[in-house]
Amino acid sequence: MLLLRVSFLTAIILLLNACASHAPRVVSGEFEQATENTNKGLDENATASSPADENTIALIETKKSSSFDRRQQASIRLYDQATTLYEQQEYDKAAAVLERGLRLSPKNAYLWQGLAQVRLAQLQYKQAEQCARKSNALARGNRDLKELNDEIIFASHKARLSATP
Amino acid sequence: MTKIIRKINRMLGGSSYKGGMRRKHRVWFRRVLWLMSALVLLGIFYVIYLDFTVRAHFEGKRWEIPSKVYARPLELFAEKDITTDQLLDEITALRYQRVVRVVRPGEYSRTGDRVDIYTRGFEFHDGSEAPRHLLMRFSANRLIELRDVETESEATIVRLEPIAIGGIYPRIKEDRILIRIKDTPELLIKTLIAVEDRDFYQHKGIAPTAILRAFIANIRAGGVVQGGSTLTQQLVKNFYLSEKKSLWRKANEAIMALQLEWHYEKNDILEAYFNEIFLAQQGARAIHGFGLGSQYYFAKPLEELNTAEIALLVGIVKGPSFYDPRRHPQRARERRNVVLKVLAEQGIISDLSLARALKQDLGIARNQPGGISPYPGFMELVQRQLHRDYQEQDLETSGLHIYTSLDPFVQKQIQSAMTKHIARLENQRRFEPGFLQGAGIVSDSNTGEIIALSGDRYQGAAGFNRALDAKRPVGSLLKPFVYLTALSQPSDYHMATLIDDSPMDWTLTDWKDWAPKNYDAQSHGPVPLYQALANSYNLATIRLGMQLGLENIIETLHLAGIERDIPALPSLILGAIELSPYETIQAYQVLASGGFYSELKAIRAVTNNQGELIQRFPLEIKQVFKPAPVYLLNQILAHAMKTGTGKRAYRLLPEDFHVAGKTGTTDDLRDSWFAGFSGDRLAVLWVGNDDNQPAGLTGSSGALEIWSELMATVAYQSLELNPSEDVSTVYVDPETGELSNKSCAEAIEIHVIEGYDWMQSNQPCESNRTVKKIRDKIERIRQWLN
Repeated sequence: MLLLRVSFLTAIILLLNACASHAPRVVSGEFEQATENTNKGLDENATASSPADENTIALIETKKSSSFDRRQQASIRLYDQATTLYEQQEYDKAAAVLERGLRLSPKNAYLWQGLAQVRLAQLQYKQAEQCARKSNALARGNRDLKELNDEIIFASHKARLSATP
Repeated sequence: MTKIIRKINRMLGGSSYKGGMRRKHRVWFRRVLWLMSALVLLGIFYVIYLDFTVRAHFEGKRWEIPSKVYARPLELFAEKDITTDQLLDEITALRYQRVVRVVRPGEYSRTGDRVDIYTRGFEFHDGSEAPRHLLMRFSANRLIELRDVETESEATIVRLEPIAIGGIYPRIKEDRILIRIKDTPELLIKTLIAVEDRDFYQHKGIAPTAILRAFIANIRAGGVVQGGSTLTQQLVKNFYLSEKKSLWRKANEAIMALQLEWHYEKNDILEAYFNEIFLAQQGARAIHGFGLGSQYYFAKPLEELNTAEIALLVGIVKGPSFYDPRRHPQRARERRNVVLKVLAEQGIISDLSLARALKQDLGIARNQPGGISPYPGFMELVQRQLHRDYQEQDLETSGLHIYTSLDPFVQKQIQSAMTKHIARLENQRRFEPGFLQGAGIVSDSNTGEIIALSGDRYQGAAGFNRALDAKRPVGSLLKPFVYLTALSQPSDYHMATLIDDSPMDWTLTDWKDWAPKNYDAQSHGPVPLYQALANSYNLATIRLGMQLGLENIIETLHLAGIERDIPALPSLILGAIELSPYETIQAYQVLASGGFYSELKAIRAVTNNQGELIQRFPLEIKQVFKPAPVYLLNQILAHAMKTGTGKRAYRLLPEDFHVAGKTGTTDDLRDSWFAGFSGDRLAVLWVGNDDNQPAGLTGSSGALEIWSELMATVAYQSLELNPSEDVSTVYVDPETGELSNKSCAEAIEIHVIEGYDWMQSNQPCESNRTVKKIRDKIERIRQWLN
């Protein structure tokens, strides 16, 4: 049960791993001043490495925030729901719940990995592999996560090969 | 005379006159008997036939219900980016009632930045959402607190029921919302029975006493307040018979009513009545049943109606046109009051309730929810996607529930931005009103779900859907795919590879007449690859494209999801390929999601009218490009937004909000395009003239204006670009495009894909330039010799 193996780890890491940056919004063409917290969040989450001009390229970087992000709670709740459904072998519903989570946190590598595992359980090997690859693309040096993704990719690949006459 | 009698007697076989008469009577009697027997037999057959008709139709009654299409459900959780007004827009569309004190589902109250709401709950295809009493607090365009009143704890995530955005109707537009007897308010049942058929639970289908009582009641009231037909007879008439008033029809009605009662339970008959009864005509759409009637007249579900509203709804049954409360409010009020008094007389409501209900307004919703969708462009996309899997007839009559990804807020923003800016651009350029048209699509940049689509500059305009069907040259929107082809060859190209932006000599080729120039009519000499794209240099791009090979660029475009045949002509490099906004956003979706293709979709799931899942449209992805080249390309497209062709966007977007995008302009300024994405939203906009006349707009001066305003209101997540593990940072000399080091004054930092030869030779600051100068000289001599 790969999903079970990572669920506890996920819950902890998700709490610490904020991934969505945030922008003050504009209403009626005027910039609305965001609160101090919002601006702080912005600085913490995403910055340009240097001021942009035409001759030098300012690379966008993403820094990990150590601040507790309450928005992630919604994703965790959905991940937990999906885990329960997975255990009950309600794979289609588990996938739907994970997709719902991905609409809120599309860069969340754990949700992608969860979806990969559900697809594996549904014997949808191609999708299992693709979702694991997507999770890998977002894993940003998280070795545990990548290891599990690689396991899924390997398992999917093997299953596909054995299914081929 | 005697002769004649004898002759008849002989014919009848009689021997005498008397005996002949007796025989004659017997024969006639026999004949009548035979005739009567035949008639009785025929009658029995007819009754059997009616019985068969009654049962076959009633049991096999497949209500013809148009499919209903829903928007995405609004997800609510702490820290969600949403304003109080946005929430209020949503719940107003869902017809929540503003009250002083919230006590039941469908109600809300607002005090400043706090909203108290009792959600209705909903049966979603992936689980049910129970009704919840919630307290919300907003600050700085964000939901900062979401508490469950009953549990007195934080509610982690809640979703509201989705807004119905339209239906799929047959030509005869009979519409209804099915209700079950167990879910019907008791007061409605009692009111209907009290007014229409007091002995419903006692009679067997017809009630002679009811006819008598109705007659007396009508005399007393000085008008018709009660009918003599039972509910069963009324249902029979609606179900099986015509409106024609005749004794034959009445007889049939009576027989069939008896048969219906014989075969079925009272509650089955009542439930059928509730769903069948005709209540209004809205254009070509016939409103049937109390479920839809409640929505049509009061814009709320049946269970939320009060006594006066129930009385009015039941009162309308007698004559939906005559008592139409919108056209004849006084008549409707009088009818309602008659019904209310009947209820009080029969002890169903108290005198106090009667007095209170009599004083109430009719409570009719001003904007009746129409059957025609306010989003025809999006609905067309939904229908096209549905037709791949469903028959037209099923969509029109099976009452399917179609859950889509449309976000009404985003839809409103794209439409208002288009309408406003296109009118302004027209005015500025002194075009006739209506000269310019536009189209736009917004998708979730990660999943490929379409969340808004507008095929016309005007809100609600149906007809030619430019977002789906207008095929126009895309111009420079195509360039990123040329550069992606290059960056996918990391042994030969990186972000700072020098590309020559000097004019090309086409005279030795098959395209002698083609003389493309840069938009600024300048040539810029050798420029780093990222600058060539960020500034959309045509000459550098053509040279790069020819180096790469047209077939390779075409392959990249196909991988990005462009399915049509693409001719291998050099003009392709500058975007001389006609694509619709829909095809364009499909291709950009791959860039926005880091090289993963997911087919665009507008539908999430389809259920039947009992809420059982029929089909889900799952998220499916396919990696078509390696993450590293897409990452590098997106860095350049983000740079283009900060310093290149897209910088105008930052008049509206905050400085530290990252987006990536590309302008597109075609010959003679006929088409103005912009495609770009943030961390959560991808949008493609087109502005131009339907007859392909010059519109006087570049991508930057037209479509980008709309895109920027749109993104400033609907995009919340800044673009984050995560380098894959094979990407590292190096310093290069922008003049040579070769490796340099940090200490060199002119060196710039770029990201590269690791593991290629050119990165091995780290040269002192000046040596590269010296080598380059020598190389340039050798090249010039070679060209001179040629």
